[in-house]
Amino acid sequence: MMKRLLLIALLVLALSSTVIAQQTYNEAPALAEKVAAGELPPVEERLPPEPLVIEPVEQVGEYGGTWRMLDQNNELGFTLMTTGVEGFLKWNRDASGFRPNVLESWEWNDDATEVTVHFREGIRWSDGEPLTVDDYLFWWNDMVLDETVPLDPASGTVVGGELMTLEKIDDYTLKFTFAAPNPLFLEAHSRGPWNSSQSLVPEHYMRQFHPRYNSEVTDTTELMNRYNTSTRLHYPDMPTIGPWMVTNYVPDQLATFTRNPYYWKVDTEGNQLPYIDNIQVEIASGPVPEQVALKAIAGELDMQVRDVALQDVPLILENAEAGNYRVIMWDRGDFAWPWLMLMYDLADDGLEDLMYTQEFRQALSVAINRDRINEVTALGLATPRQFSMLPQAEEFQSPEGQALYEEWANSYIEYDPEQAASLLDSIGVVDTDGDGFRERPDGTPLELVVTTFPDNPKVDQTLELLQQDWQAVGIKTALNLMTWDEYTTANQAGEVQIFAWPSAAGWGLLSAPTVWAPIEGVQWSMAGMNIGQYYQTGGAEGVPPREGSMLERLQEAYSRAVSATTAEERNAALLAAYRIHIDEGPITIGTIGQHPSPVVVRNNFRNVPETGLVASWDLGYPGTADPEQFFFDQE
Amino acid sequence: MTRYIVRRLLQFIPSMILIAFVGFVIMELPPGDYVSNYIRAQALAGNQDMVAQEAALRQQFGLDQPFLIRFANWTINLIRGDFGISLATRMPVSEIIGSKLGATVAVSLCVFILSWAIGIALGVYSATHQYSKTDNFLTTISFIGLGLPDFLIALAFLVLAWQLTGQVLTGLQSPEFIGKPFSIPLLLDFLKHLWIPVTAVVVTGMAWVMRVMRGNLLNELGKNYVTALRAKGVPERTVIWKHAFRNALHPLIGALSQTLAFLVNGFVITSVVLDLPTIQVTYLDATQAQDLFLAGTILTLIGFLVLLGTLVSDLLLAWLDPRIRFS
Repeated sequence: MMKRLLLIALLVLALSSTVIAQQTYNEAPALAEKVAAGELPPVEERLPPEPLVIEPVEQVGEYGGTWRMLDQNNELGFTLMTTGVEGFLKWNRDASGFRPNVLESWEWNDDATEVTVHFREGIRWSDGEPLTVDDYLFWWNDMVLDETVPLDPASGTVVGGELMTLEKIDDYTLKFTFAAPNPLFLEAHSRGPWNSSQSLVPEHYMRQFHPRYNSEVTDTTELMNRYNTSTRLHYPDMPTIGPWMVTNYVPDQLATFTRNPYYWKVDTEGNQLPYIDNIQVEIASGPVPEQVALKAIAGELDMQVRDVALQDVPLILENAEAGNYRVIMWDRGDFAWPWLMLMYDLADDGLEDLMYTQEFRQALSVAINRDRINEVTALGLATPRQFSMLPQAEEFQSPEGQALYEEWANSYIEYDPEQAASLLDSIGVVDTDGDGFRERPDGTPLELVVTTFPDNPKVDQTLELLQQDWQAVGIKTALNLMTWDEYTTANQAGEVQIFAWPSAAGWGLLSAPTVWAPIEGVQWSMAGMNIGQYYQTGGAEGVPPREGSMLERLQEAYSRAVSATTAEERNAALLAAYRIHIDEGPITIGTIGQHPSPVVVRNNFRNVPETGLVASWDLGYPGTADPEQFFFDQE
Repeated sequence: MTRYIVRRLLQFIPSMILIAFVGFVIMELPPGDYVSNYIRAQALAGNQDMVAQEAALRQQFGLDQPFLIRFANWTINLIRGDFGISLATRMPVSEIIGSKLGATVAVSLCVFILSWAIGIALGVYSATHQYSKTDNFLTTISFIGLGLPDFLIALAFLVLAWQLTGQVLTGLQSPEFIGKPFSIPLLLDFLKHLWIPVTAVVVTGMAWVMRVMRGNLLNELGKNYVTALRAKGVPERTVIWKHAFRNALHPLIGALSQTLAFLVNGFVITSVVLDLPTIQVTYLDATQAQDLFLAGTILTLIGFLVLLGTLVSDLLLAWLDPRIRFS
């Protein structure tokens, strides 16, 4: 009796699983026609056996439509962020963490030095060829490791000074081995349109441009053009695994895209994605907020994520009804724009002493009228805050994390010129010669120079206000502009005192941790390139931070956080590191941040989430918002 | 005459080398180069791995070579007809310029022909009807045209066209026609876009031609030979068109030397404001991005056209005025 029951149960199970296996999928009408005409295999054969199911933001959509948008220049960066964010993993839509994407699953060993990853079986390139680990191995073996190809190892692939090693287990399984723990490798390797989104190249297509496989090819220009993100979309014949593929590219004018018939994601009802048929990108020459505003008002944009200026929002909103669009406020995702990197490795020793003096830094911070900066440069829509990571970061999601975040973001930001003055008095920075400006404790003149890059009017405006604020408490302040090269050289020579960094980056450990702990000798490293270099080279090069200083403690705290193998341990270590920024803070000074970033969306353009963080391309928006499930409501 | 032309043509060679050299030097003057600009933009957007590629990129583009070697290489390739590649798009420079030349010359020729035809006609009318109501009116218009920058007029037209038709007519074609083979709807669409830049630039260009024409003709009409002709009873039409007008043309013909260069490099700001797919915009972008070979080639092209224009206008003047021919 038991046996029979078991048998029936098994039978039912088997039956139901065949039902699942035989699930039918729907496809866009245009593709169905091609299938009927014999030009394409049926949708079931084009999709993986288990396609990735995407939950729509609002509702299951309908097929059709052309998405019109504007891109800045021929690099088609905005567009790549829409069609080309298909890495190993993908950020969650709210950027709170990662979800499986090309990788279906993965297993780490206990000390986080080995990870075995499983590619989703049955993903196909847009020309129908299967995607296997060989495509990834082509990038590693034939591009990165090939001396003739001008490509260096990506970040995260070199650990403890040694290259990772790759072992192919089978067509869909790959084993990564690192010389030291590298627990965040997969996440860090899945950011934006770079990293694994870029590394996954169609081997069968790329071989023809590689001198090793094609004796007619003499240099790697053609290969690199197809690899580089800024030229990749110029090649309609290059297969992709993204939701749309290039069909036409006219430099400076237009790029058009159409759906990838082999796209490997479906919605909850088994409709193959994407919903939208085509994308039409007009290419401008340079930043185009004016054109975006005009085209938005005229209703000629269906969804425009970037280059919508905050200043234009009132105008754009006034015409929203007539233009039949709405404005969704996404977030720039910046913790400060700009943030003021104080340098602690200066040729000027007296000034370096001051930088290391907490009261001096506190005085600089509370002397800033952040509300005024907000009103003048951001219509009052940004948030005055200290330099600190973003609230969305994983380590802030626990109650103690949130408490720490609140404390950090709000530390030393209350505008209080009197307190600033008394702090400066207390450390002997007083006006001894009666010229209205304070001198250093040793009586020599004090003048701070704040440097930034040219061509960022918003930062220029902010710095002018900052200059007034600091001069008001008696600190003589000068502003200075430097190009990238000048800045690099001056930074290394210890000649940059304070640098106003104009972008948004930095996400705990995942994206540019060197903005909160000096651990890399790069331009955006806090405290100065030499101090970061010192840590990065294990003390072989660069300049050590002062012994026992907060910078040294930050480096140590970073070491602990980066070697933690569990998320819990890691988050605790990060919070402990951030604590140094509060107790010894501010170390880098924030201004205002979390600027809203207006997104113009046509009224019938649906499934657009309310959250998006657009300034740091590491976060991959709008790709991260799953544009394949955006759709036009035709009613 | 032939010897004169040949000598002038031979003089082109050192001038061209000098122009190319100065152009190259100017591109080198700002600190940094294309790669450092590119790396900075990538780093600010978050592509931090790109920073490690700096040296490799520079090597790929040959920017690691010393200046003189780069210049020599480029010049030798230039003579061979290879203009190099654009660093920003990695496309051959010749292909980029070729793809822009049609649109550029189409717009510029329209502008040139219209502004000269209208300008000369109105200028002659104004001069022959000095201080009449029409002359005062035309003079006012021409001063407005001279005073207003063409890009501002273009912007006003752009907004006006949007308010009337609901379309934003930037560029020279609607997206659905870009890159498509020629057809009547395509031509109509092109014309729909073309009038904005052309009208805007013609308003200012015409005003200048008109002022010069009016001034010169008035000058000529006051001369003794005109009085003598009139006294002889020569018909007024002949006096004006055959005698005075011909002499009044000289300064305009002199200005023709700039015209060829204007055809590829006039009204830059208007082109940028309207986002026209023309060489002007490419040149400006290339200069800003320090896209060395592209900017260098366009500059050389402009220089060549200026030289050629000067030659042509000299020949025209010689043909027009025997005094020049014989000296």
